[in-house]
Amino acid sequence: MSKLLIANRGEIATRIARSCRKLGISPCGIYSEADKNSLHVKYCDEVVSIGGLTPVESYLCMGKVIDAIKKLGCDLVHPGYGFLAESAEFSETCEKNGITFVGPSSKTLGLSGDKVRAREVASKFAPVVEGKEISMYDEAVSLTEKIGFPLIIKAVKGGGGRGLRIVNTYQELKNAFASSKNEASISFGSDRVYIEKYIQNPRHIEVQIIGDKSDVIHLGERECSVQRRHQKLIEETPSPALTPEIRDKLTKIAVAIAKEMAYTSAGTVEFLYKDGGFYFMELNSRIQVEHPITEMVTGIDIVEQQIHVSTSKGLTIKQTDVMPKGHAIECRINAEHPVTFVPHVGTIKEFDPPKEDGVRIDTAMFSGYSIPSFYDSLISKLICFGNNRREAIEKMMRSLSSFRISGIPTTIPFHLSALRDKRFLDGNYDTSFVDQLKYFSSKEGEIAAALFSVIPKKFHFLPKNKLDLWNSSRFDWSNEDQHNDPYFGWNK
Amino acid sequence: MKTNIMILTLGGINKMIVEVNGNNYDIVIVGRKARVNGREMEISLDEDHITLEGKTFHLDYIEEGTISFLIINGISYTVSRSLTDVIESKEIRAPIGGRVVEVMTEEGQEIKKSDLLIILEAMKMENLIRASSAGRIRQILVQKGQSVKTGDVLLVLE
Repeated sequence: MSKLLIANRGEIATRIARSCRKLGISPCGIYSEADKNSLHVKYCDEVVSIGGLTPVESYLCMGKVIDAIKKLGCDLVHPGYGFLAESAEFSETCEKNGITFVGPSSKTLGLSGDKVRAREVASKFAPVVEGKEISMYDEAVSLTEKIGFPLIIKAVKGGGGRGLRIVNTYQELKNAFASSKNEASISFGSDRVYIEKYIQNPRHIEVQIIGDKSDVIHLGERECSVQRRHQKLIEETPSPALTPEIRDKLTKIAVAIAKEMAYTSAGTVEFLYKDGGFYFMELNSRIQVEHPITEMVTGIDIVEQQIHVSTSKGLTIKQTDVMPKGHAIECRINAEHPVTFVPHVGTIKEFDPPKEDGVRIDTAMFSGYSIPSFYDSLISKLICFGNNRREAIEKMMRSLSSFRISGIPTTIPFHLSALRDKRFLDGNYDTSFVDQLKYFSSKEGEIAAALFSVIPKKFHFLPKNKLDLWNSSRFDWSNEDQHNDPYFGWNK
Repeated sequence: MKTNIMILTLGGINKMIVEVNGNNYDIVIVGRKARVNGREMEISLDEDHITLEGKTFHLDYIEEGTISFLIINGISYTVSRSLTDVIESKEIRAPIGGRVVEVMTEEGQEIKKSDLLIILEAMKMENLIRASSAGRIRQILVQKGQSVKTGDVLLVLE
């Protein structure tokens, strides 16, 4: 029996394990010191502790991961997303050690990970935003004279918004250029940056591609414009912005770019879309967080196909097998303040996901789980399928309303407000959506909130037995504790 | 186990003014009843949910401060409590329905804080109703053995 090491944690680890079992492959796992109680540990057939708390000490530590693979005798490794997923060095180390890396070759990763080279390849097939790699400040000034403000500085080896600067004036340029280089150097070990014209408030649309040695196919697009801090919160497919003609053009371009890079495995070609025009942005060479919406409308298990590609069986589907139907939406539920999006560490008291046909929950959470502070704030992905967009939105609203997570703040209130927003309902939104969102509340809910806030705090979140104020046979109404309670305002 | 909001009726009754998501609410709570902007409604609190006229609201998260932040049924609310809560009445009401076991005071009597005023039997338990502040009893509206409902006026202070 083949064994696959999942070099990741959280929901994606449990999701990969599911596809492994489907294929008769034994899923194996690793866990950090902070993750010993995490669900992915229980999901795997065999696990190895790799110690450490921070990503650098654990899931990002290549040596520890390779050791775990050898110790468990795994012949395959799936990196998930984040951590080592797009590391050409990790892919190469696996190749050298005779371990099958479920993902693109190290050569492809080297190319897609260099944003300047990827841009060059893509520019043969798609418009790219005007700009280039800049090493000296003087060059930045002369480029700016040519392309004008606003502009954006990005790290060549970057990702996740680090090293990113938006510049509007010459005064800002010098500092932004220096600090971007500095941040890029610290975060990615390379201070290479490039500068391009900044497209304000575009839509963010990406095409899912998957390829093997002989072919590259696409699985349609995903609309990912609902973002905060350049990170996605809601994704849907198909995009309400695309006409069949533009969709056809965009997907063909994505496939052409991937073929040019000799791309194998699953990847995403990201585009900016504004006023009917689109520009290539980058190629993400990993399974994406939002892949389930594509799976919902195509019925294709992308992780399963990734494994087929890596085990030389190759893709078991052709382009003509890809016949998307219906509409799917994903809401990323994060342990974050729903208005400020500040991440929150804490213990989940209740975790009760909705159950309905066409609702998929990808999560590694459970009641009583303490969210560690070392990793990301994603706690659950809620994915809803409908025969059409309206049905999918309605199902999502129902599911969000009945998804009970208590003890920590989550982004559920944000999602409920977003799905009620006219711009979202009309499908007419771009990356400025979140900034302009008006939060929804209900009158009855406001009354409940008012009552909760005037009732003494000690009633909230107490274990049931402690709450039983009637326990003693003689309850003393003038208990001093109550009088000292600042919320006991009606009694002063 | 339903927990009554029973500690709300000692001494005078305060009217609390809170602002929720920009809208003002004035609230008076008496036993199982709340009066919100003049409208009476039945309430019951059970650990982390509240039932308002039969409709349940789950408190998923609360962060208390000068401005509190709450998540209820997946929707977020920001609440600020006005410092101008006003005493509306000097009535002492029954925090729960039951039977008056003993009246421990009489009209015209001067009382100190914590003086025992009435013993009320409810749910097979004796509940001691004490004064939350000093004052004088103007009127006693119940007598020994009488049944009272939640929110009934027991005593009126001067």
